[in-house]
Order: sequence, then structure tokens, then C-alpha cells
Amino acid sequence: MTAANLVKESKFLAILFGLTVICTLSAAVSYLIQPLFDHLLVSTQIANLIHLVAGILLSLILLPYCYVHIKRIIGVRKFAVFASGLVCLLLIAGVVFTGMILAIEGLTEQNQSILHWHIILVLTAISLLILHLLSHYYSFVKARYGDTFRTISELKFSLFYQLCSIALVSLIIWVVELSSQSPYQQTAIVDNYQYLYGEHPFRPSQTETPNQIFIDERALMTTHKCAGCHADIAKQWQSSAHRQAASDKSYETNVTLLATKKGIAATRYCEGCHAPLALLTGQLTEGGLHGGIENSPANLEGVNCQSCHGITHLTHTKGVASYQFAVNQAYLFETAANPVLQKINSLLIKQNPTQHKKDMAAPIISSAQYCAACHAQFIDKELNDWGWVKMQDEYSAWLEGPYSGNHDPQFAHENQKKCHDCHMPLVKADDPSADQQGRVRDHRFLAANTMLPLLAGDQAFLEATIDFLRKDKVRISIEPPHRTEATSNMMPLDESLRQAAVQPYYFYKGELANIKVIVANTGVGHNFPGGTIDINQAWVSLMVTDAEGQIIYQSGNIDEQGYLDKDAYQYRSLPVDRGGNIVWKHDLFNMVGKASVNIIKAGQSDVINYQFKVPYWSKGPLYLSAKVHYRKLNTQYAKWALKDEYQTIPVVDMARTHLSVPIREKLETIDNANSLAATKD
Amino acid sequence: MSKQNTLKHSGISQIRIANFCKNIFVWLCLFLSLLLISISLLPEHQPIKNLPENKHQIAPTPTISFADRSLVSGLNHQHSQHTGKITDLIDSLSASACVADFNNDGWMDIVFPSGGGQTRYYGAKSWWNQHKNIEIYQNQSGYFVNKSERAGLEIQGSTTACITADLNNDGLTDIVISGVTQSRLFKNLGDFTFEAITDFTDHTQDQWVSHISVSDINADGLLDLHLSKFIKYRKNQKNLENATGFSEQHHRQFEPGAFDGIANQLLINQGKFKFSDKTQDYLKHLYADRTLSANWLDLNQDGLLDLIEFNLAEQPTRTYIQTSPGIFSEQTHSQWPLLINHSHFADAYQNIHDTAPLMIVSRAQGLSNLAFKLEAELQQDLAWKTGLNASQFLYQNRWGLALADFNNNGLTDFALATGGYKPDPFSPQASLASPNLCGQKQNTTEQGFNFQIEACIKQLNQSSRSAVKLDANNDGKMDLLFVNNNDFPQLLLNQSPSDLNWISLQIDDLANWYSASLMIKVGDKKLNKTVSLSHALFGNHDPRFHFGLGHNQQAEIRLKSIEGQIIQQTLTANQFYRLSQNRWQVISMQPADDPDLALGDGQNSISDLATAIRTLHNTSVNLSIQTWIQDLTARASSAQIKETAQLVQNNPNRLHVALYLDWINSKHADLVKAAFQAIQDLEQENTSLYLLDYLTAKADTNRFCASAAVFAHWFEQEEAVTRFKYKAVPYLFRALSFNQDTKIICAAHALGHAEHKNAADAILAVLSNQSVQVQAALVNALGKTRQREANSSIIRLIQSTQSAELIQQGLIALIRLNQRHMHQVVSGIKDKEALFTALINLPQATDNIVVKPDDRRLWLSQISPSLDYAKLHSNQVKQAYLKAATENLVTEVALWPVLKQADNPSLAKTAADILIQQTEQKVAQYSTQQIRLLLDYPLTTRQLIRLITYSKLSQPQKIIPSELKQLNHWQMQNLVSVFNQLSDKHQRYLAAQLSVLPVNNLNLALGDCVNSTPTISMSGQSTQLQAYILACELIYTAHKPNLDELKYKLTMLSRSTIMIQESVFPFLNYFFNDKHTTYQSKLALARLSAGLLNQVELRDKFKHSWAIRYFQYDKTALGWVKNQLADNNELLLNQLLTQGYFEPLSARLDLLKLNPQITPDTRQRLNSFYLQANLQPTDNQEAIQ
Repeated sequence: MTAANLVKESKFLAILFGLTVICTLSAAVSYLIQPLFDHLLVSTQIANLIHLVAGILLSLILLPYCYVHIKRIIGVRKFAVFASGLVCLLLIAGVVFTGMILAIEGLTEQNQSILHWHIILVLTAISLLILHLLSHYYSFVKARYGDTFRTISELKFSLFYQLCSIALVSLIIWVVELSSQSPYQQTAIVDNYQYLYGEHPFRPSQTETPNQIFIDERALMTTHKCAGCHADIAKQWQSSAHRQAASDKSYETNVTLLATKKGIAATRYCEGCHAPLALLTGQLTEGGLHGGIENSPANLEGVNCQSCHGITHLTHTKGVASYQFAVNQAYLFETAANPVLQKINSLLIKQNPTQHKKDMAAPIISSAQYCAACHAQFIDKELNDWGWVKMQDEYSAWLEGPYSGNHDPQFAHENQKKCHDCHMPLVKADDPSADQQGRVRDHRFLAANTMLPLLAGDQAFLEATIDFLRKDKVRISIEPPHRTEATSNMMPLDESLRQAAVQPYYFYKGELANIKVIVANTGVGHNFPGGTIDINQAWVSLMVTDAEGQIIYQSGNIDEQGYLDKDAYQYRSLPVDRGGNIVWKHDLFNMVGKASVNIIKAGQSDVINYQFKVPYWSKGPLYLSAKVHYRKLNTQYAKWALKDEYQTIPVVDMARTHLSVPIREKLETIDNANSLAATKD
Repeated sequence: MSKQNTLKHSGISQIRIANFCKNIFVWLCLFLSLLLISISLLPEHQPIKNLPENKHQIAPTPTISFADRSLVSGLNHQHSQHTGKITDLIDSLSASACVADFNNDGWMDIVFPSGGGQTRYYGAKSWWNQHKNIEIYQNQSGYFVNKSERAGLEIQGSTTACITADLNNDGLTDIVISGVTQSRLFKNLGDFTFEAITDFTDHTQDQWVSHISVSDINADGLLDLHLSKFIKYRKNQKNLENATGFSEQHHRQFEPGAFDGIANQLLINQGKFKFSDKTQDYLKHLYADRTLSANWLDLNQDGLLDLIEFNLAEQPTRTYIQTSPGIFSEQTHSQWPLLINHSHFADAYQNIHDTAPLMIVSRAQGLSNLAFKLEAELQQDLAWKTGLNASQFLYQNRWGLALADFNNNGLTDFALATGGYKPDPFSPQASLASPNLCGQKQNTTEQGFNFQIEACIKQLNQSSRSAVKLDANNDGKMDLLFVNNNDFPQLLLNQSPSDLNWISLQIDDLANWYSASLMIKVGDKKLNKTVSLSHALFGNHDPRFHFGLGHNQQAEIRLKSIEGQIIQQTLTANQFYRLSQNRWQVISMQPADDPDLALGDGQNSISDLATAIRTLHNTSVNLSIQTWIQDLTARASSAQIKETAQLVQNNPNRLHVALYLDWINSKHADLVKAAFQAIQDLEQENTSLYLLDYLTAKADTNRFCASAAVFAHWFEQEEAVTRFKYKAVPYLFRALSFNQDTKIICAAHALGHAEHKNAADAILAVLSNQSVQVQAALVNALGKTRQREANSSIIRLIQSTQSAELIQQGLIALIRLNQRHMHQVVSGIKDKEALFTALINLPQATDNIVVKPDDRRLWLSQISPSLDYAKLHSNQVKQAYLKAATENLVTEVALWPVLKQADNPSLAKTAADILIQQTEQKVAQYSTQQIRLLLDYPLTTRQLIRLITYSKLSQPQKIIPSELKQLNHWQMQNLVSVFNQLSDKHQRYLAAQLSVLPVNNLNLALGDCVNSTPTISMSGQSTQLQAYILACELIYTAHKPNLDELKYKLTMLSRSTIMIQESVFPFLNYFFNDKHTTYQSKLALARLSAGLLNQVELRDKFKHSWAIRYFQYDKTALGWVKNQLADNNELLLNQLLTQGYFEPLSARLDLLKLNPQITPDTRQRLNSFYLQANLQPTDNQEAIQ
């Protein structure tokens, strides 16, 4: 052992000691103090940064130290010292390893256990280190060098220097943070904002912000930043109807119509849900750009990440954007323009996303009523110059159904389901917010819009939507036309049993056949159909053919131009204007009520009666084929709203069923008897 | 010291400060640099991917189309199996065919198990049964010739299935035929003769073998047999299973579940036609399933053929996977996607652009078909997604399958045989028909595909069982043969407009190469296939391997046997190859559709349609002949068409029905009419199905009515077309609801004759809300249906109608329907005027014969007294009243005043009719003025003759010429138009009167010359009259086919005086003046022209006049003009030029051909004629100059 080596080791030790102290302190600030003091966010984040840097440095310097240290102690035969030292080294390696994972991957949901292991390993390593020192002290140092470790000479100087430089680094960060800050604007983005619907800036939309301030565009347009970490989710959202909520061609047509007829301020009614960016930033006033204007920011973003994740609570569940929006608490360099600082900002979120999670996932976000903000709707006098009219309300429909568990709970669905369970099921994703099984909530929000993926040419999403619509949503069945007057049992039966015997079913030639078709809403958590049922099309078709395929009866066909048979049995609402005419353009500001609403509530069913004559030319058995069809938009509206982008919107068969019914001839004698009887009459 | 200390201290301090600064700086740098490094470690922002591109691109592919060539294929037998009507599964389950090259000539022959005819369920034939239950056809260049007579193929009972394979490895394809009671193996002796191997029959005695398949299970180079066995059938067997219900509703005789199953059998070939049953050894189980069929497919793509058995009675398929050669393991896993119940058949195929072999499973009515990609693990069913299933097809029973690349684009398409197995309720000798489906595969994405599905052929629905693919005409496109239950087979030739490439490979010694690996590589695409016989349901397909190559010109073929022998060769596309001496050799074959092949020598020279038809009198029409006749028909003149139509109508030929069916769609009305007539007279079962296509809403009305009339005739003739004619009844029922009155009337007429039990109900259902004419036709039909439930409706209808026509038909119908107390019915008719009209006009009504004249008279006498002419409302009733008056049923009415009522022409006409019909005495008293009045109306020939004969006109002395001169043109025409038809005496009288009138009046009678000539003798008449008579005779004879008579008359003309001759020509010119358009006039003109111009004795002057006048319309005249010009006929040229025929002459004359013969003088004059006419000289004319 040479003195030079000892000096070298003592120098390394000094550095390591200092770094350990810094790491421990910064970790303590970050991990222990933060939950207690929310306002110490800045210092916590600086501590996070320091912890990261010090940790890396520590890991790097550990290697030469271990080399020198091990080289020095080779030959020392002290088991306790050796064993504790070796285990300690392994533990430190574990600490470094877990630290590296956390440094690289960030503190994701799946890495929570790694964080715990990191802490446990650190504490254990420190404990063992103390044990190592003590055993070394009592077995060797005390006996040979009289209470003094020979390698601690540099400790205090090094610690001092390191602490000072940490202080300086913190100071620099703080100064840079202050200098790079660019505070969020709280006024409308367009000057001379109009207050046409009272003093509230967002009326007739039901949206609220703290003190009714406007929200800075930068606080809303964070999609790319979010995608930096949540790439998979961003991809899902990219295909979704939420992303296209404003750039949807039919919406563009309708909102432009509204703006033309009633002025841009009236579009606040729609934009709170379709283009929150336009509403919250104060665009929706004379001179501003509403979301229906192509390539405007609000048009491009639609309902983006912040639009949902910035909601803190609901003002009520009647809908029309009835949410309270708040800007999240800023991390360091949140508003900085410098790319390096922006990176540091991302790094900080990644390393310690506690506040991020708190901001982005308000407790309400996982509730069903959260969706009611936009998936419930009414219109009032201020817009239709008539009065309050209730419109779509999936939330109430869900509450009333068996899936909510609230309505007659004894008979509720076994697995209570919320909106998220169907429309945002857990899917596999490589995402920091993924749960322990690597799943996130599906941000494609699969529902019933087949028009958007069709127009976007997104075949995969279209197929996924069609699959979604087909999977156990509705059922259809045809009630066999049992003959109550006949039994199919050839055994001699007691008279009292005859009514209970199996009744065969068949049609007679020439008779007026009655058929009942039952459609059941078995898997839609709300009404079937839901949403904009004035322009959506859901209907039942029935086709009856004979054994050679000759068509005997059909209802619910689509003609060559894409229009549905006028007599088809449809599930829809028929909104009417004050003149009693149908409002078919979805121009809701003209709507004053509904002529009819035909839907099937969750868990309920509907019976449709069909009647047709069984022709004498038919050859048995008759073949009945019934289907439930759905099409996102009816053709009249689609051709008007989509204009030159119109494409034939696919008709999705949501359920189908078939029944074969034998045909019988009425015996001639009976017929003659009847006709003779008729003649006598 | 202190200073030093101070210095030292200060030095140390400086050092410390420096150290401090240095250390701080170092640490600061270190921290900051690490910070930056950490930041750089952050993952980059991942840009959100742009939206996926729309890959929905459908590759352009030639559309598949087939043409029905059944009637010209020579396949003229019929599958038949029932005793009067289809009553059970034996009757309706199967129909099959096997394709093989029995004589190794490269053309695929066919053998059909064609049912047992009138064979009872226990196997006994009816004594009158002549039906042959195995039919074999030799393919002679695409035409099939029946070789059954001497083939030696005999079997007992009903036949169900077949298989063709070389079972003794002698190079000749043998046949196994299975039946309900017996199965037989036939050794091929060559030249279409076979010998039954009796040992084989023992294996299957009294067992229903529904399907046979082959495979070399033990890899010994001998093909083994798998027999699918169906049920133990007992007529009217009662068992507990499915024992409830109405028998007519459940149709237990059609339910396999009501009978016990039989275990299938695996027969291992021991060589020399010896087989041993090794089922238990190989398959481990002996399930007594109700197996309909089985197939050997490589389900898991391991190169070994697996066995799949398809069971009915809602039992699952059984799948045996061949894990290693000869070792089978049954798949029982509940998730095995093929473990599905009640399936009929499955087949798989892969073409060069398919990503994997596609397997399709066909199933019964209401059950979905299945489709899988055959890969190591079977994936989910693709049938709905790819369009193979659709609600509108699920009503069908789907049976046999043919998977092939029909348009040679490298993608596998399919054809699916469909048909119900229960009897057609209207035609119980046939099972329920439905359209066979053809699916064209279309790639939508790299992996995805879908099928465009439609009926293989639109106009012919039969109850098919097996779909067999074959290249019948060796044109490189796969054709289809649908084999139909209790019906004729249907051969569809592939007409896909594809110029894409293909290749066909034939392995004759298939047994030696069974299970070998056939690899085909085209460009960068490669596919592997296990060599096996391609099984069809109940039979087998064309044994050649056909691949569509798309645009590729060649393919690399690698064949590797299970012993490891490899044959590798690159082959050029569009050739048939045969594996011979371990090399693929090209087979050279003549195309089948060369007309010379079939027509024989000399027939190509025939260019006349009628002659061709006569020549073909004893020849069956094949495709070549059909094409040839089509070509002749397209080029035929209207005269030829007329002649042909006449020929066909008079002598319909059963060998020519294909032509007649073709002609139904002709644009020539005569041919259409003749074709329908011929089909009606021939009464052939196989034509009836084709006629059904003309009974649809889309069909043209004339053809609809013609088709309906054919069926009406057949219905009337009980023995005619007994099997299929009643298939028309549902079509006719449907026609009742069309919105075309004519069609309803035609349908009603046919339905009346059909006397179907539902006809009355169907007609009554549509009786209201129709026009009166339609109602009358429907009521007439009701009468013929003999169903008395119609009586009350008819009575209600006629008692409330205002239509006389309807009342007439109502009364006729009610009499037919034995309505009692008819006089009460008649008295209950409210509209007495209509009733009166009806009864008066009853003798003119359709089917009036059923009403007794006495009854009519009685009913008339009931109502007549209550009618007063003056108070009658409609003209129709007044007309009737007038007629009644003539029968003395009502008070007489003064007719002359009625006749003078100019405002009521129809009534006046009736009055005129009655006046003419009055007694001879009365007519004789009519004044000339009254006669003039009568002549104002369009009278019939009969009336005119009566008038001329009885009136003053026949008494020249009573006529004042000035009165006659007052006759206007119309009256004059009326008068003379019947001249030729009057008696000799009256012609003479009338001629005398006409002599006082201008000669031109005789022109008015010329129209009648076509049909008759004057009988008056020429001598002693005026020149004009003689000329008229001669002209009339010429016209008459020119319209007759006998040329001798015409020649004779022309001789008479040439021998008559010049004055007469000069007078004849104006008459002829008058007649032909405006008659150049009709066929008959053209023909007459041509005849007359030919005779006239060739009449030596006739003066040239007349010939010139004739030729100049008619050269524009008649070729003989034109030829004559040409000749005369060539002969420098000055007279003619002068006449031509002076009469100003410049332009027509220039248009008609082919001057260039005349040129060499024309003298310079004539040329000069022609030149001047051109200049005179201000015509621009063309090359031709310049040549003249």
C-alpha cells in the first residue's frame, strides 16, 4: 500500500461523500418536502435536477474509487468488513442501476416500484456502509491508527466546494427561470371582445374559467409537447373524432352556417365542445377565427389534450361545455422559448411528474359525469329565440340504464360500466402513464363515427369503429309466427295440455303474414342510437324471400343514390322548427322541439311489426332476414354538409338474424267452405 | 515571521481562494455539463405520424363472365330419380359428374351418375324405365358425344357419386360409381368400354355411399378410396328422433337426422383392383355419422393431405390431420374452427397471387359459409368479411364448389352450386332451384381481399348439386359444369374477356406422384401445392392443374415426389403440358370452336340461311354451327329470313332447338315468331326453362306474350312437357301484379289453361283496381281454372260493372264454373245497358261458345223490352240496340236518319252495316244517293260485294251515269276495290259502269290485285279494261312463287296489241309507284322485272321505260340499264338523259366497271350529262372521260 494510492483514494472518497450528501439532501427535498409544501415546487424541481446530476456524477466516480479501494484492501482478511463492503457495493450498483432507469425513462407509472427499490437500496446501502465503516473501524482502524480513518482528510473541503457550487447552480437555474418566464395572457386574443350574451365571456356556452379569464393559447396548444412523452396516446388521439371535432367537414359546414346567420359570437355555443381553443382564447368575437375555419389553430387541434385534461370540475351536467377549465401549475421553464430550457422543462416533468399528474388528471376525469360536459346538450332561448329544448344526453341515459348501477341497483348490470370502459377501454401502449400491465385508456374514443375515418382515408380506424359497433351492442331477433291454434305434437294429448304443447309456426299461402322483429339494446350503455340522432341513421331492414330467392317483401333498403327507403323503420329524432318543418340540416338554432324521438334505452328492447302478403307464387320455406343498420349520416344531410368531399358513408350491419318459416297450403275444402260461407253471408 | 506568516498566510489564502475558485469552477462546470448531457439524453419528440394512406385500391381485373352452352354441348341427358314426384332424400340429394381423359387424347371427357330414373327407394326399377343411370360422354374438340350405349357401365338402383382415377396404374382412367344400394368399380378397357370389377361391389352392398374420394394414404403408389356413407334409409321409418310434427311441415323423408348413420370406409388399394377395409387402422374410430362428403386437403400446410368429413343432421365435421405419412390424428379441440356442424363440402385452392390457399366450406340453408386461409394455424373465418356470406344468399342451400382462376389473373375465384332439396311445390318432379353463385376475387389490400358475387348466369335457375370445373374447349380458360338434380346439366363456357396468361399441367400417372410437392414460381411469386386429385362434391374436377399467370409469360415448375425425385423446368405460358418421361411436354390441340371441324366439307360455301337450315336437317347444332348460323342470320336478307321462318314454322327440328332459343332474341319478328312456334311444337323439356326468362317484368312484352302462349299451349296439352312446364306458374302469378296490362292479359290467358289450384286465389287477389280489359281477361282465366271459389267475386264484379266486355267474360266464366241460377245472376246485373250490349255482342266475345244461344236469347228477351232507343246513353249501347233491332229483339229503328248523323260516325257505321246486311230485296231498292251514303264508310269486302251484287249497281240500266260521276274518290275506291272479287257477271256490270268514268278509277282496284285477279274474260272489253285485267294478272302472278305463270302472262302481254301494252304499263307503274318498301312488293317487283326484261317478244321500248323507271329499286333493271349502256344503246341513253335520271344514275351506276366497254361517243354524252347535272366529276367519271 502506498501513500500515493491512499491520497488518491481519499480524494475520490471526499468527492463521493459530497455527492452522496447532495443526492440525499436533494432527494429529501424532492421526495419528502414536496408533498407538504406545494408552493415549494420550484425548489423541488431544482432539487430534482441536482439529484439527477449528482447521481450521475456519483455513479461515474464510483468506478475509479472502487478500483483504488479494492486494490488497496486486497489481502485484508476481515470477513465482516469484506462481506459488508461487498454487499454494500452490490447495493450501490443496484442504486445506480435503478437510478439510471429512472433517469432515462422518467418516473413512469410502471417505474413506481423501481423508485421504491431505489430508495430502499439507498437506505440499505447507507446502513451497510455504516456497518462496513464500523466493523472496519473496530477491527482495524481503532487498533492500528487510533480512531482515525486515514482516508477522510479531504472530506470537508470537497463537501464545502460541492455545496457551494450546488448553491450557485441553483441560483443560476432560478435566475434563468425568472428571466425566461413569459407570463400567460389572461385577456382575449382578439381585441374588443363582444359580450353579446351577458357579462359572461363564454355564454351561451356553459364554460367557466377562474375569474372568467381567457386562457393563453400557449397553455392550450401543448399537443406536441404531450406527444413527446405520450406518443402512443397521441397517435390514438390523432385518429380520433376528438381531434377532428372542429375539422370535421360537417361541423365546418354547420358552424359556418351558424356564424353566417347569427354571427360568430353565437358559435361559442358549439365551440366550447368542438373547438375549446377558439372559445377559451377569446377568438369567438368579431375579427376572430372560429373552429370551423380550415387550418385555424382551433380547427387543427379540435379537442386536444388540454381541452380535456385542463378540466378541473363540472359546473353542471346539462352539458354544452359545462366544464371549469384551469391552467396547470407550471414546471420550470414552462413558458421558455429556448429549446434547451424547454427540454429541461420536459426532463423535470419526466423526473418528477407528481404535479403534472395532479394537474392533468383531476379526480373528475375518471368519472362518468365528466363526459356530460359535452355529451349532453340543450339549447335555450338566447340561441333559438324560442325556449329551452333538451337534446342529446348520453350521461342521463347512462344513469337511467343498468350499467350505471344507480337505477334500480338490485337489477343493475353485474359489471357496472362507465363511459370510459367502453369508449376508452384499456389498451396496450408504450406510455409513461401506462399501468402495471402496460395499458392506457384508449384515446381513439371508439364510438360510432364512421364518416371521419372514411373521409380521412383511415381504413384501420374505420374497421375498428365498425368492429366496435358490431361487438355486442344491439341484438335482433325474429319472433317465429307461432300458430296458437295448432300443436306440433302428434301424440294424443289431454285437452288441458294442448295449449301448453309446442306450437308450430308456418305461413299459409295468400294470407297476410304478421312478423314481429325484436331489437334489443343489449350493450350500448346509453340510448341506441346516441349522439346526433337527427342526422345519424339507425334502422331495421327486413327482407323476405322464398326458397328460390324471389323477393316477397323488403323494408329498409338503400336506393342507388344512397337514400334510405322512406318507409323504413328508423331510430331517430325529428327536430322541427317553429313552422313545424323538419330541421334536417342540423341547424339547431332553428329547432324548437321534436316531432318524434324513437330510441331504445339501455337494456331495453323494441318490437317492430311487419306485415306482408304471402303470395301464391311463393315456394316454401320463406326466408326472413332482419338487420339493424347504422350509418353515421343520412344521405340528405351528408350530401349537403360534406359538399364536394361527400363519399358514400358505409352502412354498418350492427346485428342480423334469420328465420326460415315453412309455407303451407290451405286445404281446398276449407277454402271452399269458407268461400261458400262468405257467399251465404 | 509574522510577515512571513502573513505572507505565508496570505499566500495560503491566495492559494485557498484560488483552490476554492478552481474547485468551485470545476464542480460548477461539471454539474452544468452533466445537466446538459442529461438533457441530451432525453428522448426526442416523436412527431405524430401522419394519417395512414388509404390503401383501399382494387386491382383492375377482367370481369368473369360465362355463357350457357348446354344445348350445343351435346350433353343432352337428364338426371332423373323419382317415381312421379320427389318424395325423399334419395330423389333429391345428389347429382354429379366426373371429368377425366378416358382416351388420353387431351380432351376432357365426362361421366355422369344420372340417377335411377323411375327407380323405387328399395332399388327396383319401374318396368317401363328406360333411363340409363350412368352416362359417359367423349369430348370431341369441345363437343360431347354420348358413348353410353356400348360403354358397359351398368349399376343397380339410384346412382349418387363417382370418382375417376387410374386405380391399377395401367395408364387408363378407371371409374368408381356409387349408389344408394350398390357401388361399382369399372376398369377402363380403352375406346370407351369398361368392365365391372365384381369383387369391389361386396364392400358396399346395400349401403348408401354418398361420395367417394381418393388419396394414396400409405404412399405405396396405389390410390386408396374413402367412401362417405350416408344413412340407412327406410321409407316412412318411424323413430323417436324428430318424431313430432306435421309430416308435410317437417318433411321427415328429407331429414337425415330421422335415420341412422353408417360408418365411413377407408379402402386400401392392394393392387389389381383388390381393396381391403382399413378404416379402423388409420382413423382409429368408426363413427356412424351421416356423412355427405369428404375431401383431402392440406389443412395445416405441412405437405401432407388431411381428411375432412362433412356430416349432415347438425353433426360436426370430422377432421383427421395427417401428422406423418399414414398417421392420422383426429382434431377434437373445441376451438378448432372447422369443427362446425351441418356442412356440405369444402375445397381449397391457391393461385399465384393468393397469399395462402383459400378454403371455402359450403353449408345448408340459413347457415353461414366458411372461408379460411390455410396456414399452419387456421385463423378466424373470413366468410362474412369477404362477402362470401351475405343475407341475400343465405336462403340458398349451397353444395358443390369449384375453386379456380376463371380470369387468369392469378387470384382464386369460385363457383358455388346451389339448390333446394325439397320438391318445387309447382313442379314436384324437380327440386327447388336457385341461382348458382360465382365469386370473383378482388384484392383490396396487400393481405385483404373480397369477392364480388353474383349469379354465374342470370337466365337459368336449376337445382344444382355439384359445380365441376373443367376446360371443356381447351381454350385455357376454366369452364363450369353444374350438375343438377332431376334436371339437365348446365355447361357454362368461360367468356371472360381476358388476355391474361395461364398454364395447364397434366400428370397421367397421378398415383405415382400423389402427395408430391408441386412448386410454381412466377416472377417473385411462388406457391407450393400438394399433388392430388381435385375433388368436387360427389365427383371430381378436371384433373389438370390450371394456374392463371396474369401478365407473366412463363413459369418455373418444380415437382418433387415424396421419394425425393425432382423435376424442374421453366415453361412458357398458354400451353397444355403433360408429364411424360420425367419432362413436361407440350400437348398440341386444335381449338374447338373452328366451324370447319363440325360442318364438314362443302358447307362453308352455303351462304343462304334457309339452305343452311335445310342442309343441317339431320345434324345436331353444336357451338360451331350455332356461330355459323348466327353469322348467316346477321347477313340474311329479309326474304331469306321470311323463308327460314316459314321453314322452321312448318318443320321444327328437335336437333335445332338451340338455334330457336337463339332466335327468340332476334331482331326479326318473323324469326322470333317462328322460334316460339317451333319450340311450342317440339315440346322439349329442356327448352321450357329458357322460356321462363321471358316471363319476367323486364322481358319485352311481345316475347312475354309469346312465351306465355307457348306455356298456355303446353298446359292445354296434358302430355306436353310434363316435368317442367308448371315452373311457369309462379312466373305467371307474379306477372299478375305487373303494371303492364298486356302482360297481365297474356299471363291470365296462360294461367287459365294451367288450372293451378292456387290460380283462382292469385287472380282474385289482383282482380280489383285493374282496367276493364285486364279484368275481362282475368275473369276469363278464372272461368278456365274451374275453381268455384271465384264465383262470388265474379258475380259481384259483373253486377257492379259498366263494362259490357267484362259482363260477357263474367257470364262465360260463370257458366264454366257451373254457376247455378244464371238467370238470377243476369237479372242482378245493375247496368242494364251494359248487359244488353254484352249480350248483343256476345257472339264476337272470346270463348263465346260456352254460352248457349238460347240462354243468350232468353236473357236478351228479359231486358230488351225495358230499353228505349231514344233514351239510351252511350253510342255503344245504341249500336247494340241497332243490332238487336235487326234480330227483332227490340223495336225497329229508322236507320237512314242514323246514317245521316255525321256527328256520330261509329253509330252511323253500325247503321250502314245493318243496312247492307238487310235482305236482298231491300238492298235492291236503295237509291243511288243512298248507295253513295253507304259507300262513305269503310266497308268490308264482303259488305261491298253484297252491296254491288244486290243493289242498283248490278243493274246498269238503272244507273244514271251522272250520278256515278258524283262519286268522290273515297266512294269510288270503295266501289272498285273489290272489283276482282266480284262474280264474273258483276264484274262485267261494274265494268260497264266504270267505262263511263275516267280510266284512272281502275287504279283504285289495283291494290286488290295482290290477292285476286278479275275473272272477267278479256275479249269484248274496252282496251283500258283489258289492260287493267292484264296488269292485275301480272301483279297477281308476280306475287306468287310460281314463275311459269308469270312468264305465261308476260307472253300474253307481249302478244297483246300495242295499245293494250301501252295501257298496261301505267297500271303497273301506278301499282308499284309507292311500293318499293315492303318485302312482298320488292319481291314482286323483282320477279316482274326479271320476267319482263327477259321477255324476248316484248318491245324494247317498253323494256327501256321499265328499266329506266325501276333501275333505282331493282337489280335486274339496273343490270339491264348497264348492259344497254355498255351496248351503246342510244335510245336508252337518250331516254335516260332526257327524262332527267342524272342523279340516281350516278348513284347506282358503277361507271368504272362499264368504262372499258363504253364507246367514246357514249362517254362524251355521259360526260355532258354530268356537266348538265352540275355534278362534280369523281375519279370514276374522270375515268369515263
